[in-house]
Amino acid sequence: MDSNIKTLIEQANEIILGKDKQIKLALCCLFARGHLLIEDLPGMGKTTLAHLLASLMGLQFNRIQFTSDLLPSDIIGTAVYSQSNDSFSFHPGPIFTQVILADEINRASPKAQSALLEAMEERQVSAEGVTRELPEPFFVIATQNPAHHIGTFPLPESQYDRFMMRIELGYPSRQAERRILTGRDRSMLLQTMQACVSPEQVLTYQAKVPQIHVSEPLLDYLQDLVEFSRSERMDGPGLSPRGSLALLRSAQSWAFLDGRDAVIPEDIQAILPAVVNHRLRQQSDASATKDLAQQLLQSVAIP
Amino acid sequence: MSTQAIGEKINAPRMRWLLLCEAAVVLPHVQHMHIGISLLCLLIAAWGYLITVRKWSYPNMWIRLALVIIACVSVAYSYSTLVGRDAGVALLVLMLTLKLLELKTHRDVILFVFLGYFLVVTSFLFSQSIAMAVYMLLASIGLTSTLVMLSRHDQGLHVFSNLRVASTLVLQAIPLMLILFVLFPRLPSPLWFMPEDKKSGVTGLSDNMSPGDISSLIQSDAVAFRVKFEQQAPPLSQLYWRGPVLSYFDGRTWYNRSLPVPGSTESIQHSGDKTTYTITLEPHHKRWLFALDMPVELPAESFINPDYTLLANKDISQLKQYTVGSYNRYQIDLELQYMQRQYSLLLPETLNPRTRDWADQLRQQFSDNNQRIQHVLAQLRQQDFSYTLNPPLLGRNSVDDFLFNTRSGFCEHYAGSFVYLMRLLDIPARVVLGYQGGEYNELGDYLIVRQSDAHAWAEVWLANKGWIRIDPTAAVAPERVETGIDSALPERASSGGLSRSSSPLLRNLILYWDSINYRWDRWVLGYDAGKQRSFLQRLGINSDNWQDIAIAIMVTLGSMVLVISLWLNLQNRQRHKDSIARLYQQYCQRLARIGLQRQPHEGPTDFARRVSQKRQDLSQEVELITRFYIQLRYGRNPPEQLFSQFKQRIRHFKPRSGRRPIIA
Repeated sequence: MDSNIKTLIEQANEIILGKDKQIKLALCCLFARGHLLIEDLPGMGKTTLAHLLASLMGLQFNRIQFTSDLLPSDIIGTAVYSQSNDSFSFHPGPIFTQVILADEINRASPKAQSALLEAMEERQVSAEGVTRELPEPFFVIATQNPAHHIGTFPLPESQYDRFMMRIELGYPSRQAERRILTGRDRSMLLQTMQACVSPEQVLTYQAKVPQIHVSEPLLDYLQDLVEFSRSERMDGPGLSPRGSLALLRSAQSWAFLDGRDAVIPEDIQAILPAVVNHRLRQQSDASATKDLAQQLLQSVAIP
Repeated sequence: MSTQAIGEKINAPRMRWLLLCEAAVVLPHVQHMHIGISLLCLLIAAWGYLITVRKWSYPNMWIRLALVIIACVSVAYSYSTLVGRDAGVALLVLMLTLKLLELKTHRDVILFVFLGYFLVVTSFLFSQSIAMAVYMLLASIGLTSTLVMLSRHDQGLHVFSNLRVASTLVLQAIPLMLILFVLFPRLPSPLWFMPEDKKSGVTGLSDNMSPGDISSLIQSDAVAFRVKFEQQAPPLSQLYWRGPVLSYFDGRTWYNRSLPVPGSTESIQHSGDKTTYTITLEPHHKRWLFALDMPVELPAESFINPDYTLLANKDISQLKQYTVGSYNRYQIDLELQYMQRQYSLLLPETLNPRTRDWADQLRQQFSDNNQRIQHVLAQLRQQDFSYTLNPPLLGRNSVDDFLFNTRSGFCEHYAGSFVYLMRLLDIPARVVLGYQGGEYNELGDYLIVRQSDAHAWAEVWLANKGWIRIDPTAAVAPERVETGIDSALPERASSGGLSRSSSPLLRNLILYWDSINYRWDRWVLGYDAGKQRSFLQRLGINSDNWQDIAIAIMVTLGSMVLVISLWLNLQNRQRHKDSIARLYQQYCQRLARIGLQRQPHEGPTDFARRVSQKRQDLSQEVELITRFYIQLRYGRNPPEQLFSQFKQRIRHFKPRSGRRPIIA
C-alpha cells in the first residue's frame, strides 16, 4: 500500500476510534469516484468523519445543512445584480467545493434534494443557462437520519442508486467510548491535523483504481452475484447495471487500498454490504437490509 | 511372420476402407483409361481384398514380379508407350492397385496412401474444373483419414472421427496452400511437355468451311471464350470476333491458306474509339486468338498475319488469357499487292453458270463496284431468301443452287455465295470466320461467347477504302446480328440446350454458375507467371529475384506460425486456468477430508485464515498455496513457471488429521 494512504488511515483512526472499517469504506468510495451516504442517528460522528477526510487530504470542505426550507439556489448558487458594472454575476453556492457534507439530506424538500443529486451525477452545475464544472475531486458525503424520524422526506428509491455506498457508523465500543470521554476534544484534534495526502495525489489514486486487474473468474463471480440479486430467490428489486459497476469499482478501490494490483473475491465480499444494501432494500423496512447482503453473499458460490 | 504385422494393422473393415479410398482416387481416371486396364485393376483389387478377408497367403516375389511385368506390358500394349500423361497415369493406377497385394507392414500402407496422394495430383492433368478440385479435396481428406486411422492404437475403423480429424488437418493446411499458391515461383512455360487432348473431341471453328459446318457448330452451347471489357461494352451488333480468313475456294469448301507469319501492322490506319478487353479463351488447339476489329495493342507472344488475323505463337492447348486493345475505325491494305489481289479473285473455272450470268448482267447494269454490292445486298434482302438452320442439300453447282433454287441457308451459305459473286465481279473478296455477339452475364459483368455464336461473314476490297466488312446475313436476317442467334432462329431456341432455357430462374442459375467458373478460370487457372509478377510487384516484391520470393514466403509462413502459436498459447492459458481451478478444488477436498470444509462462498484468503487458525502446522503451506492460487487465478499475467510450482505444491499437499495442533 502507498505509505501516504497508510498514514492517512492511521491518522483517521486516531480521531474516530474503533471505526476502521467505516473509514476504509469511505476512502474506498472516494477513490472509486463515488459518493457516500452515511445513515445513522445524530451525534455518532458523521460530521467529524466528513471533516476529517477533507482535512487529511487537504481538500476544500463545505457543509450544507439541509432544512425543509432549503432552496436549490442555496446549494448551487445564484445570480446577483451588481450595480457597479450593471450586470448579473453568478455567486457560486456551497456546492463548488471538493468535499461537501450534505447534512441531514432527508430533511430538505425533494426539489432541493434533487438539485444536489443531479450535481453529484453530472459533476457539473447548470445555472442561469451556463454549465459550470465542479472541482475535482468531488466527493459528496450525505448524512441521513433513519427514515422513521419525524419531519423527514425520505429519498426516493431511484436516488439511492446515486450513492455508491451507504454506511452506518454505529455506537462505539466500550473501550473506544472510554477514550472519547477521557481524551482530548475531537474537534480540537481536527484543527491540529496535518494533511497527509495532496489533492493531486487523490486524483492519481482515482485514476489508478480502474486499472486494477479484474480477472475473468472474478467477473464471473460479480455477475453471479448480480444475477442472483435479480432472481426470484431474492425479494425486492435486483441490482441495476449502475449497481454492478459500483460493485466493480469499489472492489477495485478496495484492492487498491490493500495494496494489491488485482481484485480477489474477498474484496467484493468486503464492500458488498455497503454497496448493495441501500439498493436492494425496500422503502418500508430498513431493518432487514443487513440480512439481504448477507443472504446474497452466502447464496452465491465463488466460481 | 510379417503376416502377423499386417493382421494388426489391416483387417477386413480397414481393407474395405482402403479400397474405397483407392476407388475414389482412381474414379476420375476411369473415363479416359483403357477399359482393359480398369478391369485388370478390379481383378487385382478383388484378389487383395480376398487375401485380407479370407486370410489367403500373399503372392511370393516371383508372382509379384510377373504381375508387374504384365502390368507394364498391358499398358505398353494399350498406349503403345510407357511414358507420357495417359500411359503414365495408367501405370501408376496399376502399381497402386498392385500394392494391395503386399500390404504387409505399416510402411506398405503408408506408401499406398502416398501413392494415392500422387494420383490425386495427376487428376489435374486432365481436368482443372472447380468440380474436380472439390472432388480431389474430398479424396485428400479420405486419404488423410487413412493416415489418422493408421496412427490409432486399436484396430477399429472410427470412420467419422478419423474424417473429422482429417478434415481439420486439411482445412488447417489451406492457408499454407494459399500462400504457396500466391508466392511459389511460376514458370512461364511448364517444365514438362503437356500432352494435347485428342482434338476430335473439341468443338470449335476449323480452318475450312463447307455448307453445314457452322450450322452443326451452332448446336453446341459450349463456351468459346469469355470477355471482360474495361469500358462500356460496344453494342452486340458490332461485336464481330474475327477469326481465320478463308480465301481459297474449291467449288464446295472454303480453305484458310494464309501463312502464319507476321504481316505489316504499319498498313493499319486506326482512329475512333479504343476498346480494351480481356479474353479468356477455352483451348481450341488452333493458333488464332479472337479479337474485335481492328486489334492494335496486341498481347504478348502473338502477332497479326497478313490477313489481319491475330495469331498466338503456338497452339492454344490450355486456357489462355489475353488483353487486346482494338479501334473500331480502321483502314487496312489501301494498296493491295498484285499477288494478293489475284489470290482474292481466284475461282474454280467452270462451276455455277447461272451465277456467272448474273454477274455479267450486274457488270453491264452498274458501272460502279459500290452500286453492284448494294444491288446484291438489296436482292438478298428483297427476294425471298430465308435464314434457317436446316437448309436443303445443295448440288454440284452449290452457289447456283443456293442463289436461284433453294434460297434458304445459314450464314456460311450467304457469306460463301456473296464472296463468290464478288469475285465474279472482279472485286477482291474473302470469307471471315469468327463469332458474332455473345451473351452478357450481368452477375459477373462479362460477355459469354458460345460456339452457338459462331458466324461467317465477308470482306471485300474496294479502292481507297481497303478491306471492308460486309455481312450478307445481316441483310437477310438483321435480327441475327442485333439480338443474337435465338431470335433469328426460333427453331433453335425451342430445341436448344439448357443455356437457352426459357425459365428465368434456371437461366439465372446457369449464368451464376458460369460467372463462378469464369472467376475460377480468371483467378485460379489464369494465375500465371505474368499475373504473379504484377501481383507481387503491387506488394513490392520483385518476383524476378528469387531471394525476394524466398523472403516473402518465409515472412508469410513465419507470421502464420507466429499467429498460430500465439493462439495456441492463449488456448493453453485457458486450459491452465481451468486446471488452476481444478487443482484448487483438489486442495479444498484434501482439507475437507480432515474436517476443514470450505464454504462455497468463502474466499481463498478467508478460508486460508480459517485453516491456519485451526491447524497452525499447515498455515505456512496453506498461505503459500493461497498466494499462488490468487496470483494465478486473479492476478494480472502470472509468470509461466508459477503454474508448475503451484501444481507441485498441491501435489505434495497431503494434510493428515492425525497431527492435531498443539494449541487447544
